[in-house]
Amino acid sequence: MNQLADVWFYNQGWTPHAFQKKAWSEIQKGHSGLLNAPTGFGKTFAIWFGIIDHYYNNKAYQKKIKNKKSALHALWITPLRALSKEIYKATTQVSEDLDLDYKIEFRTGDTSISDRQKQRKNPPQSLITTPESVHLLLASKGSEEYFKHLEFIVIDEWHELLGSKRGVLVELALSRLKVLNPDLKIWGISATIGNLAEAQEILLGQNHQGVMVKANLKKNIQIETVLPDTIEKFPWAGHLGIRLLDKVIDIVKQYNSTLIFTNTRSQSEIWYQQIISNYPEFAGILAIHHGSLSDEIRLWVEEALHENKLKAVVCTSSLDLGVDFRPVDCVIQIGSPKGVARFLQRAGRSGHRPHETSYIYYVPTNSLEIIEGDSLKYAVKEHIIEQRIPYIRSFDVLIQYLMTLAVGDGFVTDEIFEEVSQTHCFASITRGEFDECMSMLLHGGKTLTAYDDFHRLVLKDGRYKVESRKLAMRHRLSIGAIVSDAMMKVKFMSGKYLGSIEEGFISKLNPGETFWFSGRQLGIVKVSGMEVIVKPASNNKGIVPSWMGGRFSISPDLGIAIRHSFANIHKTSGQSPELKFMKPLFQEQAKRSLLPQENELLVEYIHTKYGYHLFVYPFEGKLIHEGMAQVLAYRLGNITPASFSIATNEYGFELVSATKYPVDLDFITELLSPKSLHSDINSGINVQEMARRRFRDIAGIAGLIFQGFPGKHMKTKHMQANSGLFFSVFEEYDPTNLLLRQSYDEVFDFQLEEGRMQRAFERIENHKILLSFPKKLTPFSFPIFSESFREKYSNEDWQSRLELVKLQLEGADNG
Amino acid sequence: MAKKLDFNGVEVFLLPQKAVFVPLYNTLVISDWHLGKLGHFRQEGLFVPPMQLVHEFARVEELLLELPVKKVIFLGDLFHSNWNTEWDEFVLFLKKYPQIEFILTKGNHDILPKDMLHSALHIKDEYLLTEGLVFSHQPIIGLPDYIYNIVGHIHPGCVITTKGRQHFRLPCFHLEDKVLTVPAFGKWTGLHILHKDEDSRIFAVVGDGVVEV
Repeated sequence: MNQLADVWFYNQGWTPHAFQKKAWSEIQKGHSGLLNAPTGFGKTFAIWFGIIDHYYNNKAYQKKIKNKKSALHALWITPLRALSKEIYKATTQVSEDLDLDYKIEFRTGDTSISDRQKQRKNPPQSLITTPESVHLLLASKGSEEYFKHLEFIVIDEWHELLGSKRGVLVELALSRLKVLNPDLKIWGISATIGNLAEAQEILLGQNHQGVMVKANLKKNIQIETVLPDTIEKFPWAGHLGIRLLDKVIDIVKQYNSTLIFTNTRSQSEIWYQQIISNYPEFAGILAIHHGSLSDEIRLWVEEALHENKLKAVVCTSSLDLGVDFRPVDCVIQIGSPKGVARFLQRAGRSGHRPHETSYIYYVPTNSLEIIEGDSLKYAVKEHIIEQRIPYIRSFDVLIQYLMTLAVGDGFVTDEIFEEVSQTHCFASITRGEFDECMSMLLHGGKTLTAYDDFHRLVLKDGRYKVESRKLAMRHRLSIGAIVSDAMMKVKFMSGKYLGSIEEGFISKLNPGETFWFSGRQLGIVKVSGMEVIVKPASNNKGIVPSWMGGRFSISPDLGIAIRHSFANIHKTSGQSPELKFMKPLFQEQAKRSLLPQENELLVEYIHTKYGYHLFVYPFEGKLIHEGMAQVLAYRLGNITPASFSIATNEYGFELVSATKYPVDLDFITELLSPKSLHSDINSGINVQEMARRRFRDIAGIAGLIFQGFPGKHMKTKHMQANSGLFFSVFEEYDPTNLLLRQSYDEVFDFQLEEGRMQRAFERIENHKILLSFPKKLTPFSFPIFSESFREKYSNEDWQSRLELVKLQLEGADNG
Repeated sequence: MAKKLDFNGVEVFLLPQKAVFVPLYNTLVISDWHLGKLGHFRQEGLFVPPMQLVHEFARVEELLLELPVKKVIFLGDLFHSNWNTEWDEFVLFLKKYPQIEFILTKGNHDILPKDMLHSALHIKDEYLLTEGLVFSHQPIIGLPDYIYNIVGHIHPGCVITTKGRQHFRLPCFHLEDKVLTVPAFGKWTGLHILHKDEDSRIFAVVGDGVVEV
C-alpha cells in the first residue's frame, strides 16, 4: 500500500507496473535493494514514492526528527547533470501535484555559492546531485552532522558509474554515510548488464540483505544498417561515413526527430558541418550536443528537443543517458558503437515509452565496418551483453578521499581504515598500504626527509585535518575522478561562452585562422591566458578540433559477435544483407591474398617502402591486439634484435620492421604459440609505456596535478608539470610507490587483460594458419596500414637505437 | 661527439651533455636547469619525492673536470621558483669551485630575492663577448645583424623519424637567424618540439653525440 502513489497514479490516469508496486513494498519494509529497469518505464517513481511514503508514514522516523528544524532525508545521485535536472523536475512535480511540503533541491558543480550555503544551513528533504558533489559535501565542515539523519541514498544509473572510478567515489561515500547512520537504506537503479548480482553486492556490501527488483519488460528494437550504393574495396578508416550523408538525411526526413550519435566530439562537429553545408534547409532545426560545449548551449538543445523544435541533433555519449526526450523516434549510430550495451542504450533513446518500438540505424564508417551491423543484430538477438568491470585498489581515489575528509571534519585513521576495507574496491587493502597512502599525505613520501618543508595534513585532537586554506580550496576544486586535459575557454568578444577546447589543439593555430566548434566556424582573434577569443568566420575552410580520449576498443562481447559474423562469410545461403553486400570486398581479399574460414587464422607478410609488414587477424578487439602485437614483437626481437612500429584495429594488427624475417608456416606457428606466454607478456610488453599513460589519470585524481582554478585567474605559479614528469620522477626516486604500482596493475587488469589474451592464443593454437605473401596491400590490411596512431616496440637497447638514428642522420648528412 | 660551429670566428661547441662550450673564453654555458622544481612542488603540497641533487651536480662536475672551464654562464631559469632548501645545496656546490666565475643571465623563473642571487653568482641581463656573441635567457629583439645571440628558455626538442616507422623525441640545439637556442640542461624539464625549415638548422642530441638533422 502506497497511498501517495495510488492517488498520484490515479490522477495521472496511469496504472502502476508490477515492479513499481514491488519496489514500494520493499522500501516500506525497510529494505535496501537494486532496481533493474530500462529507462522510460517510470523507474524514478518506483523509488521516489517509496521515499516520500517513508517520510510521511514511518512512525520511527517521525519521532526521530520531531524536534529538528530540518534534516536531509534522501540523497539521489546521478552520473549526469542533465539527468539530475530530469529527476528534479519529475520529483518536484509530484510534490506540487500532491501539495506536499517535501522539498527537493538540486546541487551540482554549477550551484551558486549562496544556494550552497542555504542548502547547508537549511537542508531540503532531498538533494539531487552527483558523486563529486557528495564528496564536496564531505569536504566541508560539519558534514557529519549534516548527513546524520539521512535515511535514503539512491544511486541512479549505477551501471554507468560502476565501471569507472566514479563508482569508487560512490563506494567510499557509502562507506562513510553507512557509519554515520546505520539505518541508511541504499537503492541502486541499473540497466541490464552482464554482472547485475555483482553490481548489487558492490553497492550494498558483502552479505547484504538487500532485494533485487526486476522490471522484466520487453522492448522492441528495429536495427538497420545503412549501406552505400557500391562497396569500396579498400576501406580507409573513417572515410565512408560522410559519403552516406544523403542516405542519413533521407532517414532523418522520414522521422519526427532523430538523434545522430557519433563516437567522438570531432566527428560530431564534422557531421554537423556537413549536414548544414549540404542541406542548408536544416539551419535552425539541427543542433549539436557534446561534452565540451557550454552548459547554456547544451541546455538549450535539451529544451528544444523536449519541445519538439528540432529535426535532429548530432551528439556524442553526452546524450546517452536517461533523459527522456519524448519527440525522438529515431536514432542513428555513426561508426561502430564498440559495445552491445552502448548500442542498446542509444537505441533506447528513441521510442522511449513502453510498447513503442525503438528504431536505430547503423552507419558504418568504412566498408569493413559494415560487418558489425550483422554482428550487432546477432548480439541483440542472442542477448549478449557486457559486464561492467569494477575498479579495485584505486589508491589514487583513496588518497583524494582522505584529503576530502581532512578538508571536512577531519578523520581518525583507524576508523577510516576499518570503513574503507569494507568496500569492494579496497577489500584487499593491507594496513601497510593504507599507511603508505597516509604517509604520502603526511610527509610527501615514504620517509621524512631531513630538511622537509612538506605540509599537508596536521594531527589535531586525534583527527587528521588540513589547515592551509589554500590547500583546502585547491582540493575542493579538484575533487572527482574524471581527469581532463588543460582546457581553454572559447568565447566571443562580447564575452559569450561557447565551450572549452583542449589547449593542445589551440596551440597549433594562429590568430586569424579558423576552426569549427559548436557547429560554427570561428576565427581566432586572440589567445590570452586560458581563453580563446573568437569571432564568427565564413571562408568555409578551417579544421575540426580533435579531442583526446576518443579511442576505445570494442568490448569482448561485441568481439565474439564479430567473429561469429566472419565465420558466416563463406555461407552460401541465409546471409544477412550486410554480408551479401560485402561480397566483392571478400572476393578481392581472396584474390589478393586468402580469405579465412571459421577456425582459420590469416597471416599476411607484405613488403612496402616503409619496411616489412606482418599482418595478423585474430578479430579479438583493439586492446587484445595491442598486447598480442607486443608479445609477437618480443618473440621476433629474440630472433634478431629489432625495432617495430605497431598498429592495431578491431580486426587485427600489424608489426612493421626494417628487418626482414624468414617467414614460413613453422615460423609463424611457433610465433603464435601459447607456450611461455605469461613470461613473454611480462618480459616482452612495454608495460612501462602503458603505465606511463595510465599514470596521467592517477596523478590527476590523487592530486599531483593541479589544473588551476576554473574561471578564476589565480596564479598557480610554476606549478605546471605533466604527469609524464611525475611518472619519471617516481620511477627514478621511489620505484615502489603505491600509485606507480597502481598504474602497472591497471595496465594488467584493464589494458592487457592477460586472461583474455591467454584464451586468444589458446584459441589460435587450434586454428589452421593461412600464410600468404601478397604483392600489395589487401582489403583487410589496408585499414590497419592507414592507422596513424602507432605504438613502438624495441628490444634493441636505447643506446644502440640512438646509434642507428645517428647513422641514418649522418648518412643523410654526407649524402 | 660534440658539434663545432663558428660564430664570427669564435669556435662554439654544442655538447651532447646539453651544454655549450666556448674554448676561446674557457666558458661553459648551461641553460634552464630548473633546480628546485621538485622542492617547489613539495612546498606546494604535492607528494613528489625530493630531487637527488648529488646526481644533478655530478653532471656539471663531469664537464668541469673534462674541460678547461674558467667561467660558467647559466642562461636563465636556473632555479625553478621561490626559495627552498635545494637552493642552499646549490650554493654549497658553487663554493667548491672558487676559481670559477659563475654568471646568471636572469630568466623568467629566476624570482629569488636579489641579494640571495647576488651573494651566490654574478647576475646580468645579458653577457656580451667582443666578437659579437651575446648570451641571454630569451632572444634580444633588434640586435645588429652581425651579432649572434645564444639563448635558452623554450627547451627545444625535435622529432626524428627513422625506418620502420619509428619516432624519437630528442632534445636539440636550434639555430635560426643567428639565434642559437640551447636545450634545457635540467633533468625534469619537458621538450618544446621544433620543426626544421629552410632558414633553420637543428642539431639533435643523440646519445653521446650531437648530429645535425
